[in-house]
Amino acid sequence: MILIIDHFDSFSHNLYQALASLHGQVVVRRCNEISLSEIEAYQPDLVVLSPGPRGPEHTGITLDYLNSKFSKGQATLGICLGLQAMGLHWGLNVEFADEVVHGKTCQLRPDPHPIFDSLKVPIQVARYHSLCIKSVAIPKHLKLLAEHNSMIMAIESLQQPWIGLQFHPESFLTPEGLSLLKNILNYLHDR
Amino acid sequence: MIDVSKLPDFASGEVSTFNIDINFENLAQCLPESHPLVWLESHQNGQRLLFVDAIWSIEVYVDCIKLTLGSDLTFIALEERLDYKKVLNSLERDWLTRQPPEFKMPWILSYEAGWNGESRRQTKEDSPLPEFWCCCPKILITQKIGELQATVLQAKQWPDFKLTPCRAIHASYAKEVVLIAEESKQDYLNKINQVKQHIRQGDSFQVNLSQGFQALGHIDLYSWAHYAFKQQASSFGALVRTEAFSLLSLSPERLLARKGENLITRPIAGTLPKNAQETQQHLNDFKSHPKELAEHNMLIDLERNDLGKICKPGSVVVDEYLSIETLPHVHHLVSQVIGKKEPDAKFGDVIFALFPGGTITGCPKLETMHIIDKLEKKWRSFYTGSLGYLGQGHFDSNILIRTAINIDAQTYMRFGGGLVWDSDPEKEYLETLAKAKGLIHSLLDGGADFDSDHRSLRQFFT
Repeated sequence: MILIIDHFDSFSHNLYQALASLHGQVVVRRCNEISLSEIEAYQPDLVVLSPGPRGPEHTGITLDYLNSKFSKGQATLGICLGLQAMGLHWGLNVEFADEVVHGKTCQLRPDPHPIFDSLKVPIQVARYHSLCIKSVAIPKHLKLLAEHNSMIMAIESLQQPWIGLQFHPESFLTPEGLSLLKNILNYLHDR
Repeated sequence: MIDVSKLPDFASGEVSTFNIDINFENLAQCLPESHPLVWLESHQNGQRLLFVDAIWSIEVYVDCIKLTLGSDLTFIALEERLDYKKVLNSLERDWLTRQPPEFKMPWILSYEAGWNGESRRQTKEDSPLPEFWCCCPKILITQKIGELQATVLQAKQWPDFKLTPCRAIHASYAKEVVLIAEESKQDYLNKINQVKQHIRQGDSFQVNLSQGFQALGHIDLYSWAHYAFKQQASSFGALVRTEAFSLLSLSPERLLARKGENLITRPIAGTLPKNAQETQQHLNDFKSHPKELAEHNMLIDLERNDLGKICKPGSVVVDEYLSIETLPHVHHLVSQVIGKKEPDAKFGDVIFALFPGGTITGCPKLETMHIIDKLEKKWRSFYTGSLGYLGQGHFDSNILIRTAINIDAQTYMRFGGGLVWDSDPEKEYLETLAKAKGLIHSLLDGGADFDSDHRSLRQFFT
């Protein structure tokens, strides 16, 4: 099953819809109403850290989860605020973006990577963020997968099966979001 | 709590159906004085519904339930707010299924009912209006819009219903009524700037802020409705009269409809005030303007999300995108999102998946509701709440915008708009006034005027 940790967001059920059509059972739980032992007890195939309002310090159980021993071997996908929580965990600087982009798209031209397999380049992605993580001075244990205007758009951990996306694959403005999510599921499953 | 299964049925024995002549032009003259009365324009469904009188009605306040059974009144004290989702589920499951298949029940939810199960950070005065209202009408009249006949459904035990002129319609329905704005333009502009700070910090992408107007003095509601509906055929307009309150709505917006397993929402987001010099090019620019598009798109993602809570995986689709709907004073951008209902999702589950509507909160919904709660000093009550009917296997509901709430000699109106990062505060202020035109204009026509402190507002409405 897939567990979505919801950061009081209004797009978590778009992720639910997309992932449920790919993978079957998906559970959505609020980030302030779930414990680490409950997360572990689900034995999830994937943990998704949802987008959400405010900054990564307002993510309930999520930072504890990222610090936990359990999460280290656990396939995890962070989206928008979820990525920023990963960033905070990694000691990266989550800062004001130069531009505020809400409900707008940009085109990504990433280097080849299994999560982008079969996607038409440039990849149109939906963005909803006023905070960002800059794509400079990325530590060696991380690998930048896509960037836009010097901001991280996609990143993976080389130590844990974790991927973070700044953009929103679940949005109707990301036409190939479902294929991307499918690739990520397969990729994290194999790692 | 209240056990709705014990409430009396619409008909203890057989029901009768018969046709009556009904003329929209003088409908307001003929409606009976009995309470409650609900008149729903439902142009999207091509029908008009009238609910007359009640076998029982329920008003739920923050701290009590008022149950009216015929002429008997019962108050039930509440220690905590009712769970409205459960109430709606129970009404459908435990009461509605016993009623005749053609039966429909009218209901209203206030905006504040949308906090259901969530805790609020701010405290403010509760409105004197119920958070939830519904009734079992004695008489249900359905008319196809444009036709001269209507079908009456009622219990056999009542005398056959008739419509006869019983009052005069007056053109000066709001004489000696004084209009005031609840806040100054500068205060509203300051709030817009506060919203932008929240957006910059990542607290919200869009905040639907509103400002309040009041009309003080007695208004002849039937006459007002008569003229207002004639001037503006509104897709989801309504007139409601109960002992406790009245409501006149010129709403153009559907919250949610159910037809069998299909759920349909039709968000309006993006407004262009009309002006005399506009051309087709203006409309094309409006449709492709980055700010309008962003405002609209994020709400489509929000509606997809909300439908996604109670729809089968993979069934949620944007089936109409960026239509322009033109009303007397504004153009709107409208889309439609549909999905297939999960079989076990009940009426309350479905309504509260979307309520309060994303187009009148903003996004992300919960955090944005906290921001609105902080910035708007007064309650919204029915404004941006929802009014609808519930039948078996189907329902429809509007979002109560362009709506006036009347209690005694006070009439409350609010008008708002979606604020995003690119918003121009001056334009946003003017947009709220453009939305106010339908109701305020009709009050001025009926003899109302702004008080001396607000006389300068008159220029926007003439």
